[in-house]
Amino acid sequence: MIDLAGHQGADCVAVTLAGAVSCTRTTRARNMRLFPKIGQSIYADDEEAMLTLIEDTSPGPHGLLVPPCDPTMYRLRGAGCAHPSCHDNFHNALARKGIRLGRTPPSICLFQNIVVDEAGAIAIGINTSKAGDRLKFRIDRDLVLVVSACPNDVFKRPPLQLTDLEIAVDITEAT
Amino acid sequence: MLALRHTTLVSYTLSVSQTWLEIVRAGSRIDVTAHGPGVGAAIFAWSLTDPYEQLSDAYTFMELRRARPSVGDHLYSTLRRPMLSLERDDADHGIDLLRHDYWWPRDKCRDALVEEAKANGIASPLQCDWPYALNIFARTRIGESGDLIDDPVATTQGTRIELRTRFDVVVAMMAAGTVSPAIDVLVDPA
Repeated sequence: MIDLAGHQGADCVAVTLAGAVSCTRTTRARNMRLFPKIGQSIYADDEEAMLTLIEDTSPGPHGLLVPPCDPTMYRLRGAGCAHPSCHDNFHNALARKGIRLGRTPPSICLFQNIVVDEAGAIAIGINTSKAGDRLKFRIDRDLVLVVSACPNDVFKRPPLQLTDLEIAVDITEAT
Repeated sequence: MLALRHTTLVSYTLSVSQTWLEIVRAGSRIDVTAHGPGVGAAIFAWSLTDPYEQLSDAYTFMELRRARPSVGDHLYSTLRRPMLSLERDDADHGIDLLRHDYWWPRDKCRDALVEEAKANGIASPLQCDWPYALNIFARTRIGESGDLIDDPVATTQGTRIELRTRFDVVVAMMAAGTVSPAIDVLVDPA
């Protein structure tokens, strides 16, 4: 997962055809971390690993706490509920694969600049990833991975812009 | 256990692994009181009119911008609405949103509570969309490098947490701990 221009967020959810869904709470609890470190995994709600982080060139910290942006958030922030959102991106992409979820799982927020201090205060700032920063995961089981290049421009100000992500999948080691 | 729609104050005593599920009207107060050390409960909630509007750790983090709710804070639903308010917390940050399955495996709670909801004719989410527990009388500390550290709550007889419902909800709990009975649940209707 490559942030081509820098400062761009990548919100992800993973779903198996058997119905297991990536789970931020399970992931936090299994790793006893706010976000996995190298060698730790993203877990599904069935407690099985889905993705294992094997490389991270970004400054992080990445997020497993907050939900994806959604129409309600944009409406409440004055941007209108028709604003594109990771919430809608997830459901639309999954629907194209014939998968329908009754709820929206909290997303794996790659490159998100979310910091929690020891008193528990949560601060979300502009992402600090630079052009070319990347995370590499090993896929631990067959899954549908949805990645949304986060369209949240409410807090971004020029010269920062919404930019592209590159997703490279290496299938040479798959069995 | 029957799920009742009360108009007067009612209380229940829950033994370890016993469940409670109830329609609680807007504005009601829910007290959870410990019977001794090492007890707690997994708590779930969803809207009476929409089982997919659920009590959510993620939306609470987003709206509060804090990992640990304090007295006066709301706990939010997946539609970003205040669902419960925390009005008393003898346990000092005694509601844990950071970890699930602190007290019980999710499946154990879900299977028991789905059956209880069904037996009482209360609409609940499908099993695949079952909400995640918040943990009462549990606490997780955050280390400086993002590590999560277990920080047990020192409950004693009478340690209490009070919540108030912001709209009509279904609230479900499973009691846990090393002392049985573990907790009392009191509902004071609006």
